[in-house]
Amino acid sequence: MEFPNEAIPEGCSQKKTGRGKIEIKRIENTTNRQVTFCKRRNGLLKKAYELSVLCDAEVALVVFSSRGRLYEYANNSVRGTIDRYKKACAASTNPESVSEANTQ
Amino acid sequence: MGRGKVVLERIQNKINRQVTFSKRRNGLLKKAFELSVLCDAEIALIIFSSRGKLFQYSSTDINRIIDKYRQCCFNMSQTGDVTEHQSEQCLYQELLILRVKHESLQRTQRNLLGEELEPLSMKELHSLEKQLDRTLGQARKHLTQKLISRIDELHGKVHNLEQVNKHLESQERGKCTQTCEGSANSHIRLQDAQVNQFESETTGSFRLQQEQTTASKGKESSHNINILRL
Repeated sequence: MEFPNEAIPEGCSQKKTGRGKIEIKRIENTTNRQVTFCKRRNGLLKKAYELSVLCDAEVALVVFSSRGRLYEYANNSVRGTIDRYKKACAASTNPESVSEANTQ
Repeated sequence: MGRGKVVLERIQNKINRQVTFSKRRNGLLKKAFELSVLCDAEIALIIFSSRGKLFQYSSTDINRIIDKYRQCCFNMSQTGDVTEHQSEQCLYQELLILRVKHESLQRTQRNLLGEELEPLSMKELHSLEKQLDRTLGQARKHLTQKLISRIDELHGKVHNLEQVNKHLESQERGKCTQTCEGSANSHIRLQDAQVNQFESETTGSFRLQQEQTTASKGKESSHNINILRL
């Protein structure tokens, strides 16, 4: 398992392991924000890769930093997946943009 | 902590794969959201399941991020994403190539002018001779064309001068006609002289004298008119 800055929210845990919870809001300190961006970006790319491999899913991930730098991952090609996305949006009258669906 | 290591390969069991997809997809979407909020980043995430179902997340309008992505790709493909140092190296290599070309062309020029022929081989000399023959042929061809056009021009001038000459000749003929009229007047004077002589020899016949006088006056009038014409 991973040990990020964010602790695991287990209610039954008596000891507080890890670094502690962080609030999900914009980090004001520029340096801290940059460091967090690098770490979490790499983690996000890794998890996108794992999902595409484990579940045979087509994934495209495009990240622009606050200063406009581009980072991307796609198991096929970003452009191809974007084209497929646009076709899917055009085809279905109600495109599903819900971030949580078919969960548990 | 955790349940154990997961081998990173496609899950064969369909049900397990579907469950894992659902769980990990939600986790991925959550982490994308956190990254966009914490670090003020623009993120677009598109997921198609193995059965073609679409899931997406984007921090702002996804079409805006897609356009930005395409613009970024276009710019990178244009500039080639070359660093300043690499750009400098490319320019230096180009300089070397152009320098070699320049020297080669200069050598060719000198050969065509008949200089530095010693290092050339038999084949090269033969090729040079052919080139010079072609060049000489073209030069002569152009010279011939220019001479022909010059000849045509001169023919035109000759024609014009002939026209001018004819015009001048016709003018001169007009002057000759006037000279002939002068001769006619001279003739009339001679006739007058004869008439006067004839009158002096006549014996006092009134009718004959009147006729002669009238004729003499008429001729004198004609003479005056001719003088005026002259």
